[in-house]
Amino acid sequence: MSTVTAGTPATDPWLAQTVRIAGITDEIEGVATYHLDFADASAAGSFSFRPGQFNMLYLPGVGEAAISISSDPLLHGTLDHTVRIAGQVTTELARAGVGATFGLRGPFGSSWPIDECLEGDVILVTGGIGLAPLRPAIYELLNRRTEFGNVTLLYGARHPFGLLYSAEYDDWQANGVDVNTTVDRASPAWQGNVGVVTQLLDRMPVADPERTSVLCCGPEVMMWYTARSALGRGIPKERIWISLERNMNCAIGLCGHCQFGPTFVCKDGPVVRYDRVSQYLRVEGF
Amino acid sequence: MSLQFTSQLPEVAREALAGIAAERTIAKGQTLCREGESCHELFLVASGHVGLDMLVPGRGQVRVMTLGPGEVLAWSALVGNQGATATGIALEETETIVFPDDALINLCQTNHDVGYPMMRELAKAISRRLVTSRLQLLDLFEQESL
Repeated sequence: MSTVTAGTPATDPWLAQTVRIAGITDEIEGVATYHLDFADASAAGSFSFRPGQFNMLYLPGVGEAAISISSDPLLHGTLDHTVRIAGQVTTELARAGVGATFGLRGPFGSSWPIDECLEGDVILVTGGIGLAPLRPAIYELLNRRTEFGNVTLLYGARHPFGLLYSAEYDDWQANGVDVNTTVDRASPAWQGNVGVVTQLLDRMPVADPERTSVLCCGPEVMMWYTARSALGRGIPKERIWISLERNMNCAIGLCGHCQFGPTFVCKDGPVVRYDRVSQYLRVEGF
Repeated sequence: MSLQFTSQLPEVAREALAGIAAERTIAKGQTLCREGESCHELFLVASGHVGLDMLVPGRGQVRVMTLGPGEVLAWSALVGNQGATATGIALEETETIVFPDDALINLCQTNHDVGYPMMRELAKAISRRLVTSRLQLLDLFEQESL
């Protein structure tokens, strides 16, 4: 067996491996997690990824879509993708049932800088389905929990029924992640926080900003205000990371569809240091 | 205790404000201010959380925001007497710092070394509240995809 570096495709990046839907978990309205098995056992053995990376899911006759990996990087042989119905590929995927097969290329892209967070506090700020690309980072932080200081998850959703993976929060909390949720619009039964997620960052104590890292994923406006809040709390710009989303087609930086200023999001991202792209975030048309 | 609101005030202003302020523990479920009624005290949340509710005919009391440590409410006690625009309810036992309106207005008007920084910090707090309200209005999570 050839040696494969974690987080890079095991074979030609253009070649798709066949995967099978082993299970489907309905998460929230219009969003489901697909649990995938590799048809080829050797492909399963050689596949590894880093938190924050994505795969290209290929449905023959329909097209390809870049979807973040949302499972635990330590789990081999099975792979989770949490998908919202948003286009042709995801619509067709939503029609597929357990046992259906399709193609997968990957993993691609950069990852959350977990090793750069060592011994410091980590704040994960996310909203809506943005929790999906951060979930592998949460798993890795939990797997290596003693290597970090305080780990805090600040998670916002449109309404209480839009909170992803809510069945896991108690487990995360019990194992050392301080989970804080908020919703933009409360239902009468909601007893939790109401307001945008950046408010949670504004008010949380940051004991040692110089050694605190912020990992953020969500709509760009949310990430921009999160970074603004983090900078206002004294967290260095070099310690703020965001995950970008663009129209990724080739996934290896050749086609240019995902170009964002000087950055190719598929190759240089999706996870990027905030200060390296901040000047482009508020440019209309980018 | 370091709160975002007071940490930016100069020492002279903090000391003068401390002279008219009182600490008050608000029990869970107790109302701090009521929509439509005059506010005679400005509250600064030191710990705990306060829900801001607005009455919507046909829907009842709708929670529009939750406030936490470092945030102010019932600012009409300082900026005007038109009455509160929301009802503030303690969602848990909440520690507050309370400023009586008469004493606060008098202090700010007679001592500009207190009044200007106080109004500047209040303006910042109102600005933050406005930004968060705008972000809520943008409904950012309505049509996102990954």
